[in-house]
Amino acid sequence: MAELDRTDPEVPETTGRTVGAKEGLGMGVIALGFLALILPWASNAIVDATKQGDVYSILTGSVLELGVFIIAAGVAVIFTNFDSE
Amino acid sequence: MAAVAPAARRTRYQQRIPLTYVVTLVPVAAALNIVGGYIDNLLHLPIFMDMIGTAVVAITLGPWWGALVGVITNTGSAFLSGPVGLPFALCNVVGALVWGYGVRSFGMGRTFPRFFVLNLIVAFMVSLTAVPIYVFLFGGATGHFSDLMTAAFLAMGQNLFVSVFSSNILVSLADKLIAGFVALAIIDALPPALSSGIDLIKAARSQRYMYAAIGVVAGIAVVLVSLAVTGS
Repeated sequence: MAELDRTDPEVPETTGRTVGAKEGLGMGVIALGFLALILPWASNAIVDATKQGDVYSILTGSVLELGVFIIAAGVAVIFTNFDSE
Repeated sequence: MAAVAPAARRTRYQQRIPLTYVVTLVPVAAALNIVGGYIDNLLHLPIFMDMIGTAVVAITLGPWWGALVGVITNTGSAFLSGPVGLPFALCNVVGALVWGYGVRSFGMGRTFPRFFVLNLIVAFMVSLTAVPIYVFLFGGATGHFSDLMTAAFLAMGQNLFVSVFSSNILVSLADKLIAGFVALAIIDALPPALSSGIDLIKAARSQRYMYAAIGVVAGIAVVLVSLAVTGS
């Protein structure tokens, strides 16, 4: 069996900590959660800045659209193969 | 050494990447997006220029890392130039997911025509996400150059939804073609370990740069044609 060739660009250096699809998905979900956390402030700031619409409708619209992405993240968790990690 | 062989055989999507690459590339990509968006705001360009870093990360590291870059970009921009751009973080996330899954799961980066089509799909999907935000949150205008095109379409008798979609898809087509092909050139300049397992256009380096240049020129051509059509 051949040794892992450290000079081969096809094989990334694996010394130290590594991350894969699982961590990527986790960070994506954290990013969506962070977006959800700042939405109330953002809705208020948008109304102040643009002088149009109301906070409730902006927040409702944003949450509805964000929900679609959270569902997509859940679907990705279900269908991503983490077995090899 | 039995444990080594399967790791070397893994596909890129399953391959584990050194954390140092991620810690370096994600903030740099977000900074690239923020600077691009800032320049666009400053010069009132008819494109957005805030998704080049997203494309680079989504293709090299993965779609959800790209989504993270998208959220960081629009949150950072919100602190710099106001909160109006914040809801459009979702557009950046959509772009990351389509670029990432398109190249890494569906092999859409394998040839020049495939990658070209992928950028068109990204533009369409991003516009589909952006239009409801434009119409329902901002009443159709955010102060971007594309508002002039929206006004031109409204003057032609189209309703607000169609006008916003028409102007946004024209701007988005140009923007995503330029972003996608600039990202291709950037990926070519990154360490080979980051892009070695990705199914990207296989050609000589000079030819890949030529493809990138053709893509950017196509994007600029779309901008010019859309400006001519709308008379903006």
